[in-house]
Amino acid sequence: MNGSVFQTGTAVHDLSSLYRQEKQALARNEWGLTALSVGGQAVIGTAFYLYAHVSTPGYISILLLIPAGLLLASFSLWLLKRAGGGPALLLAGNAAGRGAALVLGVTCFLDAQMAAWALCALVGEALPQMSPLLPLLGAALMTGAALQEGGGLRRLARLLRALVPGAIGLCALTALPHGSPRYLAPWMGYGIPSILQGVLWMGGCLSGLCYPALMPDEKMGGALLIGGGRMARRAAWGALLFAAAYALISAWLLPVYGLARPESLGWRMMLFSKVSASSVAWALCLGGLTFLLLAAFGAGVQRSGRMLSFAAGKQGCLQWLMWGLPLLAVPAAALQTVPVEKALRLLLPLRLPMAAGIMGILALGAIRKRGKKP
Amino acid sequence: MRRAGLLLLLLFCLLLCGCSGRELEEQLLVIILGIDKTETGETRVSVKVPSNSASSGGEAQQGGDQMGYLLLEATGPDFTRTMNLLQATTPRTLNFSQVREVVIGETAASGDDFAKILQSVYALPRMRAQAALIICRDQAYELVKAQRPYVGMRLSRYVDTTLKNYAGKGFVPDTTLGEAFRDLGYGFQDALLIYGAVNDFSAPQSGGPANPLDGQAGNLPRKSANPVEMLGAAATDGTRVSGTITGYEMGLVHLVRGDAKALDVQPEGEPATPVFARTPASLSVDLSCSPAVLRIDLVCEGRYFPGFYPDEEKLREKIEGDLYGLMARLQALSCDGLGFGNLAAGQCLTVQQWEALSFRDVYRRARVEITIRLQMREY
Repeated sequence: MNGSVFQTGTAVHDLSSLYRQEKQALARNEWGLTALSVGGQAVIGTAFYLYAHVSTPGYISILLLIPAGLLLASFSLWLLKRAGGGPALLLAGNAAGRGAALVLGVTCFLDAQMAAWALCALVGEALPQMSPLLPLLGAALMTGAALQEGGGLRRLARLLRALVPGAIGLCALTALPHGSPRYLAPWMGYGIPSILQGVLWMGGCLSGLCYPALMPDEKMGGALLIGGGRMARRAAWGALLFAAAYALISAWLLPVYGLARPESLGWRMMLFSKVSASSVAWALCLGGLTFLLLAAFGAGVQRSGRMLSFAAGKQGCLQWLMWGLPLLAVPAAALQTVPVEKALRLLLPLRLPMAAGIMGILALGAIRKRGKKP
Repeated sequence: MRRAGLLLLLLFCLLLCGCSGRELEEQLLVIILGIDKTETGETRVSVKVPSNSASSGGEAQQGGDQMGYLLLEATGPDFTRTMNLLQATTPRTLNFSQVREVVIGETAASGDDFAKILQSVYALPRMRAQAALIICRDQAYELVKAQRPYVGMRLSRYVDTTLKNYAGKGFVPDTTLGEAFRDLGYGFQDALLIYGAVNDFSAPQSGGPANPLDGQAGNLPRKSANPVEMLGAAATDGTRVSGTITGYEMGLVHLVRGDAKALDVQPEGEPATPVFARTPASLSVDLSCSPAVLRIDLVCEGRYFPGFYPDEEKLREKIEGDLYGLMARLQALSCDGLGFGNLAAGQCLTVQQWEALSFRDVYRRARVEITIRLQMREY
């Protein structure tokens, strides 16, 4: 009898646990990409809007957004659960779902457009004698090529999740001795109304937290349900705390008027390295921000493409959208004109009402469907 | 595998060296930038750049300077147009990413458009914000011309090391262009700038003040191959340079900030005693009374050799008296060099409250209270 019994040193897994692990990894990577994307949007928003309009207490505006971020992530997962892991967009009916996908496709594209705009400003700051059009075109083509392979961006995000905060954090460490906690005063900057205005504007950056659960992707829907809300909450916390730390360090480095001074977006984004004399800090800041913006750009394009192809009802057009959308974001970004900047300033905060409004409609649809059940 | 990937990406970041893709010989790297106001009110800009020529290293260059460096200058109605003229007539593009010193003549620095000049300098493409900002007693052009690598080969390294050495001794501030620009005009703190001059060595070599360091650059009783002097500081009042303080007074500022290595203090009839401050003085502003009170609480340490115990009380009184003198001088110059404004801002909740306070006026009229706690220690 004993001869037929043997022991193995290899861990034995049943198929269901392997399946579960695979799904959890997928969900983790998706939420990682979301955290990077939301963090990137919040960093851009900090340099694009908060410095000038809220100045020193910009970090308070971002911290105030954390409950809203957590709520959004949980709400979108609740909708996904209602849809049984399938496309939550169909909860309010087929036509309404396609219309919602179209609107969400536009908001995702706005994310990508903003990232491209910031990337362009960063290139302009790093290479002032060079037109940013060529590097941006290269980045768009690379993104298009990378998105042809389904999970490439998510896997890259797994690496960047540690690299980006690490690089920017190291750069911040070299800059901190040049600042002072005294620069944080006056503590409320231009007052509570300006802080609340900052909250409203920066709210647009949170729309990214709704997308993973609303994405018309059956495989991903199931994975996100297995992953649960903990990963979603962690993504929201991580992204917003990172952005708040970024804004707090900026306030540490310059007094209220200095931060609000009219400077280019590129200069503001590279503020840490501008204050620090270290060329290593310059390299880390530039590298970290470039990766962050590329990830935000890629995420925006990928999600916009998926939403728009769902709205069109043709999955075949997805690969064309993955090429077309990055290139579509290039001209407006490369122009860097004042009207485009004004339009972005006006449109970007609308991303949250658009996403939240759609989620509200879907929730109504879900409640009505449940009411119809015997 | 993941860690290796991360490390690789991080190393790739470090390869970003900041070069713009231009060959070294296609550009002129500015090491020193000088700005003056002429008698007719025009702006003169002078720059010192490495000539990058094969003959560099001792011979005088035509239309230029010595030791492999060229001195270029242009004059125009204002800084921006003068810079445009200089750029247009220079055989290579000027690159400001390696600027070590920005020297501004005292006439230009005390004029109404000082803030505008500083802003224009700061806004030059790729301007190095960490460049030292020097206010020159006479014409900046003369100082730019006289700056050479008297020790070593490279001017940039010579300037870096020299400024670091001077700042370490505590008789000049170490304010950079970026810091001066940051502090200008907001009233949170006023910059103290390095005060420099070219000494023609015509001043009498004796009969000066008892403490020669209680003087300023330009007429120090010394002889050297290097006529460039840096001692003391130019005080700013938020819009322009409003006056100067001596090297010893700058030493006191460092003592209060807690970053001076040692300051020799000599009471009347007593030996000079080195005084240290281990921590920055505790500063506070009391806005509740009128006039407001500025308080300095300094804990410092005097060192003496065995058998040469100085009169502790006299030493304490001397430090206290000198600090009162320094504060009176800074208040008269409307220069909040110690940063009381930052502390006052901490008592305001909003910018509107801060602006309503008009701290500059409060500062000028404020009463000063100084407490010195001196501890004596044997070497």
